Amino acid sequence: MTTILDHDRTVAPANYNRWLIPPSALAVHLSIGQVYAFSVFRNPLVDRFDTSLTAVGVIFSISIVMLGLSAAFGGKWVERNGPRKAMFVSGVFWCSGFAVGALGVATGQLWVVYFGYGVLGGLGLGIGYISPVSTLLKWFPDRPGMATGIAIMGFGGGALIASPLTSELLDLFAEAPEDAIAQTFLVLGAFYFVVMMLGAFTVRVPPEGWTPENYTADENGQATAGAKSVRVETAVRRRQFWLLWVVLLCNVTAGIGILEQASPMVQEFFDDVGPAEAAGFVGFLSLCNMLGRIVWSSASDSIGRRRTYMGYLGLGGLLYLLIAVAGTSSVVMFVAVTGVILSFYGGGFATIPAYLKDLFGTYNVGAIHGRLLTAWSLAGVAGPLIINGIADFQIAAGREGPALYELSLYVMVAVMAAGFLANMLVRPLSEEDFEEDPASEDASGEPSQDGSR
Amino acid sequence: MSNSANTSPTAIASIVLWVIVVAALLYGVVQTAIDASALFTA
Repeated sequence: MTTILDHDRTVAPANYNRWLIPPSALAVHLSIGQVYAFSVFRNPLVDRFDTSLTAVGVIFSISIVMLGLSAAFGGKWVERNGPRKAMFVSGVFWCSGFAVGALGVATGQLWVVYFGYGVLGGLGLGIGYISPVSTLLKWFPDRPGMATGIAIMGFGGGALIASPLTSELLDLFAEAPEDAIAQTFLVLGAFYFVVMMLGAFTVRVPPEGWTPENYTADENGQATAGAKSVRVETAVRRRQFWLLWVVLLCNVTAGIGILEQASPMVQEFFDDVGPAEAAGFVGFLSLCNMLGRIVWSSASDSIGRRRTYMGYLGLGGLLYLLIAVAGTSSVVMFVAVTGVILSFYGGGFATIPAYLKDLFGTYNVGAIHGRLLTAWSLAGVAGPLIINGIADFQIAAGREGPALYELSLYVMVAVMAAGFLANMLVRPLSEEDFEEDPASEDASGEPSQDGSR
Repeated sequence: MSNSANTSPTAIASIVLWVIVVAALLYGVVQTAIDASALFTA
């Protein structure tokens, strides 16, 4: 017996307009994208618990680690059970994380916040991140870059929404922000739950054999949508998977190199840039990050995935070099160049699922994507370690101003070069690696009653 | 959209969801653009 959450209950009727699908993906990604606005809670939480920035920072770190783990280990479950169940589960975990976190704040127990927002929320993050990807790729096999760009743009956009919204809620509920955290958590959790459930219950998968009008199989001989795909277990044993893992690791590490230090960096580079302008600079970079996800990923449908990553990593590396060599010469140049670098950072995230689809086929792309996101988890640790470690070293050596960051910038040029090389080594897989997609199985592995899957 | 599949309750809910997500994105982009303008006007 199927339930409303099961894959079979999400098959779209004939002639369903595929443009009704992206908002369900956006609903999930805009909600979970809040995690990158968590820093708004940082100082209020420090005051509430009378603790250190490091202790509060652990909350975010736990959530990102759990994101990586749940995406990696939950990917196959997501693919077998379909997008609705995955989005539902994501919503339950993500929003219960806020509720449990609120309990921790209200009772003064930081470990409860670690468990709530960190563990529960993080589980929801990973499942939610990968849940709509393969569905969108099935609906838009002719424009996979645009499709994944729309969804993953939502993750970037989620932070843009949550940051001002959180500030307003903290102001609304109490005079002092530290007294308003629990209420804000509850309101955010309730709001995101409604939005994510709307997304979960409006998502549809295409009917068996559906293709867009005028769509033909890829002329380069790459895997066609829904025809043949590579199993996850096979994919992770192929050089192509690990080359893309290195590509993502390098692109994300380099982007974090700017993000992590954007505010202090711009103030060190230019004497007439103060905290207000620096905050504006961070906002500008956030906009570039979000726009890059949709613009560059959509462009990759025309340019080609490999060439697009040549741009992210090759041109991105040259831009890093320009900043390192001549970054202090002009505020306009510095802002423009770092904006482009951040757009490549966002574009790298958004384009990778389409790249995986090109190489491994559509059927298991969500699960393979989940495994690949472990590169993000590592970059999230490695990037700040490199930047902060070098800055601390330079401070200890008595250096100041731009000199604090120049070595980091050259390191990032090398990181980009490594990623560029990895991308250039990517080649199509052997046909032997592909298997027929299990077109008529339900989540239990048995043929569905009506053959609709 | 002229057929019944695209005027079903689910389809209508999807349209409502489009409005919600676009409005939310516009809110976020506008607020961030206001903050970002300090870089050029402060």
